[in-house]
Amino acid sequence: MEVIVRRLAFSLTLLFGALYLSACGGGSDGGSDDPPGNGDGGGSDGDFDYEWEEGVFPPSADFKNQCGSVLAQNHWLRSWSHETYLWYDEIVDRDPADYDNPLKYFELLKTEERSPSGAYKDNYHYAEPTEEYERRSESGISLSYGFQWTILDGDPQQIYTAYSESPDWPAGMERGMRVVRIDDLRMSYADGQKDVDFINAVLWPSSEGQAHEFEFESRSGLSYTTTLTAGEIDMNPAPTHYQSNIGPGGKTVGYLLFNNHVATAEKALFEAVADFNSNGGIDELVLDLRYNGGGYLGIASQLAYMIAGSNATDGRIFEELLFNDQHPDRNPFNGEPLEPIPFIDVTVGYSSLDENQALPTLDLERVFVLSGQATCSASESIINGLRGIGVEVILIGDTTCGKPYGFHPTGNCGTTYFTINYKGANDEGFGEYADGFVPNSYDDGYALVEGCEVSDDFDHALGDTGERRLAAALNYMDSGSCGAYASSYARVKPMVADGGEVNRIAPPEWQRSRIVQMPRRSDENIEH
Amino acid sequence: MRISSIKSAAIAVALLTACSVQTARSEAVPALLVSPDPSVHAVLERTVSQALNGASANLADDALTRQSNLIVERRPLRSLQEPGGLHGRKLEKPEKFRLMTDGAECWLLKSSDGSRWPLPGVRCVPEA
Repeated sequence: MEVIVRRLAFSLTLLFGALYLSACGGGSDGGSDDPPGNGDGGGSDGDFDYEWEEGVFPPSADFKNQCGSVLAQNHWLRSWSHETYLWYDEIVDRDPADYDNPLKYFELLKTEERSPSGAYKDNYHYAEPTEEYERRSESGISLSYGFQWTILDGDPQQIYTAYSESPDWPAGMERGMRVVRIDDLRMSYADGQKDVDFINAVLWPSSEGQAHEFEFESRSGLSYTTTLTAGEIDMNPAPTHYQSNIGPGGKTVGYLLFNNHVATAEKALFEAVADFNSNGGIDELVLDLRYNGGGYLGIASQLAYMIAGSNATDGRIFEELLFNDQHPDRNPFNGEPLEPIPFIDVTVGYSSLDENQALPTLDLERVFVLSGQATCSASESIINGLRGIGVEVILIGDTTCGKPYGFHPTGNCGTTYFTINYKGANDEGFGEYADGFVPNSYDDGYALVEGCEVSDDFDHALGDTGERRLAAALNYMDSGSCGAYASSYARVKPMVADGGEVNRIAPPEWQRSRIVQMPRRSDENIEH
Repeated sequence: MRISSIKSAAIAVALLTACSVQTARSEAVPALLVSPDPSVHAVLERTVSQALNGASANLADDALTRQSNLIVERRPLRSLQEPGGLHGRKLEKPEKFRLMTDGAECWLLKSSDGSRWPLPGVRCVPEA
């Protein structure tokens, strides 16, 4: 019965999605009712005339698709933001007539409030051409140079090679090489949006055959120059898993590297967990999410279910989507009742697996998660969802990105806008981790997670028991601490409010001091 | 008697052949592409794009040669600030297609709505 309810609940969730997509036109959040054109503000205002009245918001539908008028587009953005933005009541209401570019006006339609750490609360407010947003590619196919990058603090001088998307690295390449120059642009001289756009376009190529000359600094400090050509890579989102008696007392530890919540991950994760079980099962799991930026939330739910098992997840919520207080019961985008996302116990058709196959389970009471700055969104949902049902999560690595939020990307006049529409909360109702999950000496039940800060280790392959974060996890299993592997210990005490009730946690000193330099992220140490 | 037997056998063979041909033409089964060249690949990408209301689709060169399922999803937008992808949580499902054949024609079956998308000039064989 439980299984049926669970399946039904998720089917409803998918149905809502389908209805929503259908309503928006052929699976496009940008929508077929989204004529191409004036997203850059180039249109004339034609006959459109509407006078702004502060605090009065006509329905956004009144201004939709009036692409000949910048003013109409601004009014649409203003009303749409008021209707759907998570913190709509924190937007300063500005006269749309004062802005001659919808993109510039959109930039202002967000909160300027700060998170408890002092960082901006909303770091995820952006737009892109609808044509770009609508682009699709075959799942599991990566257009890349054969590997992916890790970038610390968004700094062009801290771009490193992270992991190979093929079984072998391209010739001459290895993990941890730092980009020094791309074509004629030295990273130390990168400055301004033009350079950032160039670097983004090169690091994540849009066409096969795109070639660039890279100069790298190797781990030993030597310079290496090579031309890399983009190609289609058949990548495995969960490329490495194994189990071994490397735990304390000969405990069997499973290691699972999970890099991307793409559709094909459903099958890859199913097979990895089934493999663990067919080889005698595991006592502990180390889940490596350090480079996993998220993706399908349903896959995150499936993995959490496979880790915790049926008994622990029975009738529990994996993630509840909370919209702004104007929409407590119904999704404002499709009008359907809001249903929590359960722990999904079957295949649901993301991948080539047939639907409704029971997922294998590990039935673990705790999991070690290896984290980094790029551990984001659906990856954080795994951490939060498991903690919400009492599964112990030990976090080893760096503070995660802090993205408990989601979007319903919406198109108007050739531009698709991403404004934060909802936040995800776990079974205990917790979803406030805008500053990320922080490895800490104890778990406070909120954003501080038991574990320790351990820097990334480019001198070892991912999954190597000598790799610092994995080694720290193994040490933790044995002794309850990361020992010499820890970069530092963040010991903090709860901040007690006047009423004597714990209402928020002060960020650790190291984090506060770094926020002065970088408004969003903590530094992720790389030990050379 | 002998002629009658031969006639009967001939009729039986003819019926069997007809049934066989009819079966091959009427039963749609999952299929794989045969020797896809760039022109076939172009037809495939164009058809998928049409099925997705004009959204461009980048498919692997060997798409539908190893399995009859084709899964397409949005490309993640990545940047220096968000190397893991900007789009965040995805609630939608990917689009799934299956290459089908009845022995005479090949087409894509779109899972979300059951629509059929012909692939003119494309050769395929039943998936083993």
